This record gives sequence, structure tokens and C-alpha cells, in this order.
Amino acid sequence: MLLTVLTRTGINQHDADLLKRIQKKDRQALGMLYDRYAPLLYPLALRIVGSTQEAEAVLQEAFAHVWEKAGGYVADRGSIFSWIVAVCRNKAIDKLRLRRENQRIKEGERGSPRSAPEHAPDAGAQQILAFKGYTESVRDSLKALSKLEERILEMSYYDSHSQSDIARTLRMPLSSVKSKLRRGIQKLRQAARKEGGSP
Amino acid sequence: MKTEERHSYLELCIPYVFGRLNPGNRKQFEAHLATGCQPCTKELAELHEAMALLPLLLKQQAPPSAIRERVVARATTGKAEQPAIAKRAGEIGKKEGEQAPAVRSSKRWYGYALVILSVLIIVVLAVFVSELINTIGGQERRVVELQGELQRKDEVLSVLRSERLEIALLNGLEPGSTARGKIVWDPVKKTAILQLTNVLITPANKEYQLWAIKGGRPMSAGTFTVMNDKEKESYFKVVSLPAGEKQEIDGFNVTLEPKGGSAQPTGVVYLRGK
Repeated sequence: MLLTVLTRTGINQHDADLLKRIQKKDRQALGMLYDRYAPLLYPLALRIVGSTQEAEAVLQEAFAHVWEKAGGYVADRGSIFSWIVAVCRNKAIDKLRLRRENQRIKEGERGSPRSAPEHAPDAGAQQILAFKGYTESVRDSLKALSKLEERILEMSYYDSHSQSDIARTLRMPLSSVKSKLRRGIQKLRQAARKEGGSP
Repeated sequence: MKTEERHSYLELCIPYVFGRLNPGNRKQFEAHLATGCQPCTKELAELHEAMALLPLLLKQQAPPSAIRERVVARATTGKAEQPAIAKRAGEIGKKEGEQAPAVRSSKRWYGYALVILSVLIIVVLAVFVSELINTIGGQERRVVELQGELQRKDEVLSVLRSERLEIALLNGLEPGSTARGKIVWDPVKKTAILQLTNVLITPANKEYQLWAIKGGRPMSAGTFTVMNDKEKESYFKVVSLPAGEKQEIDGFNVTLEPKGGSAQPTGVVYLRGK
């Protein structure tokens, strides 16, 4: 369990070491990677799928993917942190789309953006400490995002809405949604550069 | 590779990261990445890094501790563990089965009472927290809606501030003959305000589409949806026109089309004007 706030470079190196061990099927390394990322990935999954039971299933599937596909990670396409976040997000979006499809079949179109229900943590306070400083720094960098840019990014990233759907929901011209999304992404990129890419 | 082709692949990076490419385009894009295209790989890496920051804005929250065991167990066995609720129920059932009923019946009742009381407290707290979250979420959504509204009004004002404005009046046709509308546009910027009243609420899986008729040919000026009675009473939207000068535009039609719009009008004309 991580007790202190590590440097970014240190943690990136730590991730790389863990992934190498996972490639060699080291269960303990998987547990350590889980300790490090579960407090970040669980709220992400919860935000997308909206239920604790499904979020727990997403977490299991994401780490099963990491276990099985650790050898397929390509360093050129981003840090291990961003890879794991993308794996978890994709698993959650798959569940969300499947549920939407089933709902559409059963009741016709209905879906609306959902916010993550709060769920009392029963463990992991120490892992969370490891990201505290980094998270605060990112939050500070992302103050440059306007509420509207943040909302459009969230609707794209968490709710997997198309730009046309967002334009309809927010009653904005499609061109404005596109430009705000691009501007939001640009600000995120600037923040990522400033933060050095990953925790 | 030609510059335009490379550019078109770069354009696919954002929809790829959001998972919004259709299977064919995704396969094609991944095949392109497999060729080792450096600009696309770099763009993708930067986008992944950038988007991975978003979850850091969520309140960090540790999952239930039992999940860790299941993750490690599943990785080892390759099998999914039982869902949390089912597993917990199974554990409770097993423990109950092990008890000796004659000896421990009174203790059991105390135990049951304690469990019921705890469940009640948890339910009440959960309802309270959920309502609080809903209230905050609702307010945040309202702020975003108002910002959207403000932006739309800004865009309307920016059209109205133009030095030159053209206007066309729209009249409803059967089955929506009471509908009326106006299109006020800036011929230089080709930006228009579409204002409508009494337009029928858009049926499910359909959208209205505005067409500017240029040289006898209908050209799409975007789709829109009238969602409720309030919008039926008064609806407005800022749209881009395919042509600006009035002499270039023979007239306007509004048709009902399948959701997403059509390349050419296929549905009934609801409003017409010039």
C-alpha cells in the first residue's frame, strides 16, 4: 500500500516495474497495481454505469484485461496510467451501451445522463493519499475549463453521447458543441503537458 | 502518404479516443496505427493522457475491500466471482445454517433486530445522501442549461447586430397549418435565426430539417427538434445557411425527416416561405 505522495517519475517507473511483473503473471504485482488505481477507477466506473454492482464488475473486468493483455501495452500510445484509465472507461462504456440498447428494445429511447451515486468507502484511505497532491494539482490546472466545456467533455467521455446528441440536449448549435469540445480537449492537453502526462 | 490522407486520419483520433468510430472506421484506423504512423501515434498518446485527467476531477473513492480479492482471484482462475450481493447473501445463509437454533434463539432475535436496525439506518442515510446529490446535481445541470441558454442568446444577438439583415416569413402547411415562422439572417456571415411558433412537437425518431432552396435545389441548413409544449409555443435556433445573399435563395422549406436528417428532402413539407 502506498503511504506517501511519490514523484511522477517515480510512480511511472513503479507502474512500469509492476506491469513487467504482471506480464510474468505475478499476482502480488496485480494486487499492488489495484491498490494504486482502484480508488481512481472505481468512481470513474461508477460515474459511467451508475450502480455499485456494475461498477464493481467493471473494475474486475478491467483488471482481468490488464492481467491478460499486459504484454499488449504500447508505451508509444501513452502512459500506463492513461492506458488503465482507457481500459476501465471502455469496459464501463460497453456496459452502458449494452444497457441502453436493452432499454431501447424494452421501452423505447429514454436514457438521461446520470451522476455517480455516492458510496461510503470502507477501505483505501491510504491509497487515496498517494494521489492527493497530484489530483489537487490537476484540479488547479483544469480551472481553465469553463463549466460548459467541462459539461460537454463529461457528456462525451462519461455518457458517450455523440456531439449531435449533446447539441440537442444543451440546445446549442452543433458547431458550438464541436468548438467547445475541441477547446476543452486543448485545455486538458495543456494540463497534461504541465503535469507531465501521468501521476 | 498524401498530406490530406494523413490529415483525415489525425481527425479520427478524437472520435477514436471517445469510442465513437463505427466498427469499419475503427478497424481501418487501427490498421493505420499498426503501420507506425508517428503523427497519429503521438496525437493519440497526447489525447489519452489528456482524457485520463478527467477522472481525477471525480471524488476518489475506494471500492469495497472484497473486490480486491476477487480481482486477484479472477486474474488467477480466469473466472468471474459471484456478484457482491449474491455472495454476501450466500455468506449470511451459511452462517445461519451453522447455528444451533434451540440454544441461540434469543441471541438470534437480538441479532436480527440489530441487523434490521442497521439496515434501516443505512437506508435512511442513503436516501438522504441520494436526495442531497440529486439536488446538487440538479442545480449544476440548471447552471449548465442557463449557460447554454445565455450562449444561444449571445449568438442571436450577434446575428441581430449585423449591419445587413434579410428576412423570410414561413407559413405552415397541412398537417401543421397554424405554424408560423421567420428566418432572419446575416447575408455576409450566412448565419440565421430560425424562429417558429405553433410547430407540432417532433414525433419520436424524427427531426425537422430546414432547407434553403438555391437554384431550384434544396440544401440542408440543419436539423432541429421541438421537444415540448414550451418549445411548440416559441422555438428559436441559430443555424448556418448554405448561401447568404437573398437573390441566391429561392425560398425555405421545413420538412420532417428521419432522426439525423436526410441528404435530400424525403418527408412532408411542414413550413414554406421566402
